[in-house]
Amino acid sequence: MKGHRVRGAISGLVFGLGLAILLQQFAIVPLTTLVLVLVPLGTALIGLAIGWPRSPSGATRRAS
Amino acid sequence: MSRAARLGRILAAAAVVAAALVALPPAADAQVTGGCSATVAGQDANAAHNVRSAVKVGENDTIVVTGTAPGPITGYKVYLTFGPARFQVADETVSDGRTAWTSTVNVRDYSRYGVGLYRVEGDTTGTVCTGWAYVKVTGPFPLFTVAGAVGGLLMIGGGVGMALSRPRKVKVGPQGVIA
Repeated sequence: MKGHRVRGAISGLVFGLGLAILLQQFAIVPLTTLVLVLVPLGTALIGLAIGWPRSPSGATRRAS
Repeated sequence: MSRAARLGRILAAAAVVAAALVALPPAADAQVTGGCSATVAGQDANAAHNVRSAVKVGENDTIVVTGTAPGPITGYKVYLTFGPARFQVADETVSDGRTAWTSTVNVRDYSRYGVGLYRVEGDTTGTVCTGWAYVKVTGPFPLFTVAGAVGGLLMIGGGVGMALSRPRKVKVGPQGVIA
């Protein structure tokens, strides 16, 4: 299985930026610097996890 | 990696995000410092220190911000913060030794770009005071504002990118790896 860790992380970062802005727009949390850093960082981790390469046998290997 | 392990990894990452949000430090009680007092739209700024107690204003409102200092001030400034950005929305130089000031902010000038929750900050010179309060601007559906549309597009783009980054099977043909 071939994954795309970098693409996943960058996409997660972009997703998180959008999420942070929408959280502020919907008045759920204020857009502080902390929110603007933590939310994209968290979603970048999720993106990284989604794009992480894996083999059917269960062993993890580096993406080519 | 098994499907369960993969799901576990994603959930763990999501837990990190959730924990980070929960662990956000609560706002300090003493918002207005220097022995001053301040009001935003008639409400005590010290009381508007979280999401629930934010001062609610309409998109077309003109809000009055007032401040009182224990001594004469030489000027004041009012800011609207959006992430790390800080926009000055009012300022005045005071030369008559006043200890109180009043300023009006036309919400419409800013609500066209976005609604939601903002932190309004103010400071004085002369007798130095600082203060802030949360203001909740209500108005059009957030996705129909500039900031909301940008946020929505970023989420869609990022979501598509994340979906496309999912691992896929590598096909091996007679000539070697195909894709």
